[in-house]
Amino acid sequence: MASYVDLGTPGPNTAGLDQTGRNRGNLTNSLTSSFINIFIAVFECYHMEVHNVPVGAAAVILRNSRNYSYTQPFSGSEWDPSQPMGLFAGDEIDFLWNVVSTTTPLPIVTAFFRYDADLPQNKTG
Amino acid sequence: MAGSAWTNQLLNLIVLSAAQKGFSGFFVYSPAPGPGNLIGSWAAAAGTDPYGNAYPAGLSVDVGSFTGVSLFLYSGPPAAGNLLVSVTAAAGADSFGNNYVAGIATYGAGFAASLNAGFVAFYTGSLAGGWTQGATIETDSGGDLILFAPGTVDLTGSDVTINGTDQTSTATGAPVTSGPNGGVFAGHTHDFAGHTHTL
Repeated sequence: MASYVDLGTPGPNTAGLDQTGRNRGNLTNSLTSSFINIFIAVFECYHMEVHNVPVGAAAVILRNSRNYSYTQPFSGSEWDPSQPMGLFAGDEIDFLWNVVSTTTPLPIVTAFFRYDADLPQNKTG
Repeated sequence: MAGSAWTNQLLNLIVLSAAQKGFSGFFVYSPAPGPGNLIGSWAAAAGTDPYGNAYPAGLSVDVGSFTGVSLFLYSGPPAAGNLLVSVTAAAGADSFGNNYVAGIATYGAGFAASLNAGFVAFYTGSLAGGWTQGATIETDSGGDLILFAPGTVDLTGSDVTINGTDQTSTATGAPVTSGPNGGVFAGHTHDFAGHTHTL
């Protein structure tokens, strides 16, 4: 039985010119490890929300440079998964939008995190 | 969106596998699923939804109207030679090479007919080869009924009666044939048989 502790959100992340090198010239939301700012060994992303999406824009979602999901919202959308995204300290989530960096409005992503306090990995340190 | 944790999605492809029985298909409710709230459905078989709303087999629009630019109905699967009805603003050809005419039109072997604003048009031809307009029945701003045919106008019946207060004829060439052999004119009866008569 998991004993989840809600970590909330580090706040909204506004897309900008891609800095990952995987979506050159386009808009990217980079939820880097420093942005997420969670240093618990094992944690989860259990909810994400995106809004301010330009008309027709779609995003490939990466977890540590690997394809994880895909979304093509109509202006905005939310992600309520049946299976949360497992993360380790230092992991990164990126939304690679298929629109050039000059496109407006700029997509805004807000992610919410939690961890299982009963996991042995999370009991040390 | 079914199959994804993301909601409010734009979709490039929807493949709906509708069962032949049971509550299966595409159903639209407003403002929410419930009794009396089914506003449209698309099902493989008729049935009743879990809220007691009956729905038919096929596509059903229960609230509002069905709106589109063009409409094509086929006899059997959409294919060459199967076009049965078309509703279009202009003539053209569908993606199967069936030629269609403007208006609300129906098609049969060798003939087509269309209902347009103010006139009915008849065509000869084929779905594959195209259509040539022939006779029309139309009206004008005076409410007149105008019959036009590039060929013969054939009125056939056991008793053909034409009533009017005035008559105008601009016919040239051969006289009207196969008319009555007699009639009542200003109080006397005249037999046309075998000769012509100048009125």
